[in-house]
Amino acid sequence: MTDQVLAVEHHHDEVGTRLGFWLFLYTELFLFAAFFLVYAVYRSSHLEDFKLAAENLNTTIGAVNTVILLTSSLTMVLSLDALKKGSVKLAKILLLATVTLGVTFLIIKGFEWGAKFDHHIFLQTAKGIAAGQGSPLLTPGEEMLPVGQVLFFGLYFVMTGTHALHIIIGATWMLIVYFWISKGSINPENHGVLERCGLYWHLVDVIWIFLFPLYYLVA
Amino acid sequence: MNTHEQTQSPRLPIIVFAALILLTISTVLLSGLDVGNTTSLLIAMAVASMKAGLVLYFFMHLNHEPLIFKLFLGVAFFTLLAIFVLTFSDYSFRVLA
Amino acid sequence: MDKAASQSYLNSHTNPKWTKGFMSWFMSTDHKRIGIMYAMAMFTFFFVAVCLGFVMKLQKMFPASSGWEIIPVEMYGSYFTLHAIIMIFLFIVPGAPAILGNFFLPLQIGAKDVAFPRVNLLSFWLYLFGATMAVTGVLLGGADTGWTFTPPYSINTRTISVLGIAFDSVSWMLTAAFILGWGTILTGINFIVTVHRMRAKGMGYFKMPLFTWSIYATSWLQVLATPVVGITLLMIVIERIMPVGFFNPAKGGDPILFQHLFWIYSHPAVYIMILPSMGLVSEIIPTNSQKPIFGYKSIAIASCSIAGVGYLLWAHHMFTTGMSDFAALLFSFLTFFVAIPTAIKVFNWTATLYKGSITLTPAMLFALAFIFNFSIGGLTGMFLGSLSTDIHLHDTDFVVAHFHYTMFGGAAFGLIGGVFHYFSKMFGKMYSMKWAKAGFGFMFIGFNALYFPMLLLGYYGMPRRYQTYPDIPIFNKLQLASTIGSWILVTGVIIVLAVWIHALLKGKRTSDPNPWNSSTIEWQTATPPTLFNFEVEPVITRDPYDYEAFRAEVKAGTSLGASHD
Repeated sequence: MTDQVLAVEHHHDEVGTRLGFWLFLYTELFLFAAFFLVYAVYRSSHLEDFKLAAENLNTTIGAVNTVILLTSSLTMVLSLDALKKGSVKLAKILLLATVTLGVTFLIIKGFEWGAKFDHHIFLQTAKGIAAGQGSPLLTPGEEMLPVGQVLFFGLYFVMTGTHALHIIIGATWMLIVYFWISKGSINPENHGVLERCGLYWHLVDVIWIFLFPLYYLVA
Repeated sequence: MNTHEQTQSPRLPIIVFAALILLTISTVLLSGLDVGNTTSLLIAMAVASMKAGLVLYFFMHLNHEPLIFKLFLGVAFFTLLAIFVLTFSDYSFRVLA
Repeated sequence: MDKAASQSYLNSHTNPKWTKGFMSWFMSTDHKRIGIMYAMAMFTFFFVAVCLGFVMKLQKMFPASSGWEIIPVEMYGSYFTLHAIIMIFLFIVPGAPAILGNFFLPLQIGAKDVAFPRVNLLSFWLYLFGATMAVTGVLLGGADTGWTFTPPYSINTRTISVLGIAFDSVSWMLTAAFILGWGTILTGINFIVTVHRMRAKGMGYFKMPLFTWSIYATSWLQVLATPVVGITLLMIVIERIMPVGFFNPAKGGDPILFQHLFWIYSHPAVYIMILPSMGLVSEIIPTNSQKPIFGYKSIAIASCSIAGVGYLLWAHHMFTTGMSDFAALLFSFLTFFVAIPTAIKVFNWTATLYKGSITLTPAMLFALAFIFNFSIGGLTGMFLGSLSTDIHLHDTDFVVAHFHYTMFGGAAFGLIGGVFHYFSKMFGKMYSMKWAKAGFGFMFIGFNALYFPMLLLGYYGMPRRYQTYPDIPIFNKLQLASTIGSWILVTGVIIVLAVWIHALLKGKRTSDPNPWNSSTIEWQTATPPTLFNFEVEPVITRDPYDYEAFRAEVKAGTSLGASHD
């Protein structure tokens, strides 16, 4: 009794695959939703502290980053449209533009975080409150941040950090897609992977659309 | 579904993009208004929802998708709404000693 | 008959690279093989957790004053934490969807496989990886936080590993739970798309069998609830490592907020556990009554209602934590609503039995026991959902008995019944009826002997998660009875597992496609099924439980009935 090998007839269901991918996007949305819920609860009980803490964030930089991400969504949509129309070269250029904009966003974010650390925000102050003593990283005379501000910054770093992680994942995926377009396995007739990559990127943009006003426009 | 294979001219995405930029500028300007905290938050969330809606509907092509995609969005949205509302049934009604 | 066996999924492969041995299973994207692999892993973990429970009950056999100690008090927390983590995350939550959902969802809707077979295999690998992490976590120090990981204890506790080194084993366990969660999420996505896109011709939504409906409702819960707890558990890990203030009151955080986020998943999780087993009962009862199920549409809608309403109840786990009185009232009120669709199901199953031609197969015995056990479990839930009684019963053994009645006496009994129902179809082998029924007897009697006294113990004030108790006559009597009940139950579990293992190794071969004469189309396949399930894609023309039409089909030779070979 020998085993047999049977070929699978691949019944390709583009709509079904897209439907499944949307469900995956909802799981990502719900991941962030938990963070937003924590934010909402603490904002409602520490509003004045949240406003004071938010003054440390630069609204202009936040707005610039928002525009960068919105533009990257545009280039992503145009890239997909170009590929569907058969303009493979244009699609690749627009895809690279999207990646570049995403990386720019990350660089700006990196500078923002750096500025916070320089001002001894985040780790040191929270440590100080927990121990009830001065933190070794605070210079003598430097004050502890009030509780509400500590909560704000903890959430700020973790939420923007998680968001940044998703930008890295999205940008990496786009580079892989770029490579596959060059190889020809993603092409005008077979563009589902690019489409789904785009959907992921747009979700990352939607998350930022809500992060921006909640962190930068509070004051 | 063939409608999804229709190719779009770049005009529509660019118009949507322009609307998104305008909404971004508005939300920054509106946040400077001297209204109450709750009103300010509601305005900001309303604008953000409009922007998100534009991205979902046009950039993510929900406008071309079959009804079931929109039903799924509805399920996700109402579930989120329930989670937020019910959690605040605790926090909004805490009586602090 | 040899030809049929040689062409079944057990001897067929899709990938020429992996046709032999372990790899032909581990690399298989065939939903049937994946279901079997889940079964092997899950029932192994189940048995390990049963043993942990056995030892816990042994510890509770005599009061503190007797000097009896099997588990030292500093270890007891790790016992019940591991018992619960294995039972909940490794067994009953993935449970029926992973095993019987994987194997039978495509068969019930006339499909070749699930929508995303490779993602299906990935789900299994994530399950195995997370499960291995959880179990090795024990050696690395485990967790003594309870499976609920409540802060601030879960943030501050530090464990020492069995190897003597300090290692953040709590973060390890939390990460394991996160990874396991992704396995169930992907399975949920897979099943939702399968139901929407892969039903056979003629199978409208209201012609799907009820097990399929229950898997569908469960999948929505898996997709939308699991991510919330996943990230919440990671937030604990972050708080353990970095000095943010999420839930730590020392940093201004609110530990109750953790509980909200935790139970936003963990309450729907109990519906993830119970809905598929209810679906199995909805298959077993009409089959063994040889008549249509009463109120098909209302059971289908009730499944979705239970899932939907089940989202709105979570804080009934938190009545005594200090949340607002208004929230407590609201959640208590909402909690009563979920009893309505649940009761509808119980009434409909019972009505199905009326004037039915009843056969007491092992599956039927477990299904009937489900109704009995789950009714007790559900009714005891009413006392917990009422604010006044909950104050006294919260965190007592009453709660422990309540959830064991529903999750073990309900969900697990249903799953075991489902395995008995579908065993021959899956493996082409039959088990010993006599021993299966004996196993049932021990399990049913032992189960009630173990858990009913705990309802009383809780009522009399015995707290849960305690390693011992004071020398009070009523406590002593009830604890002793409960421990002896556990011995009877474990005997039953061993018999049931032995029946299955014996059947797999030495059971009588069968190719009877429909031994129970069931009307749903998963039985219209070979036993065991061929690789792609249906030789000819089925076309559905009748309701799934239309036994009159089914009998006519069998007579006409267009459907396969029981062949009594």
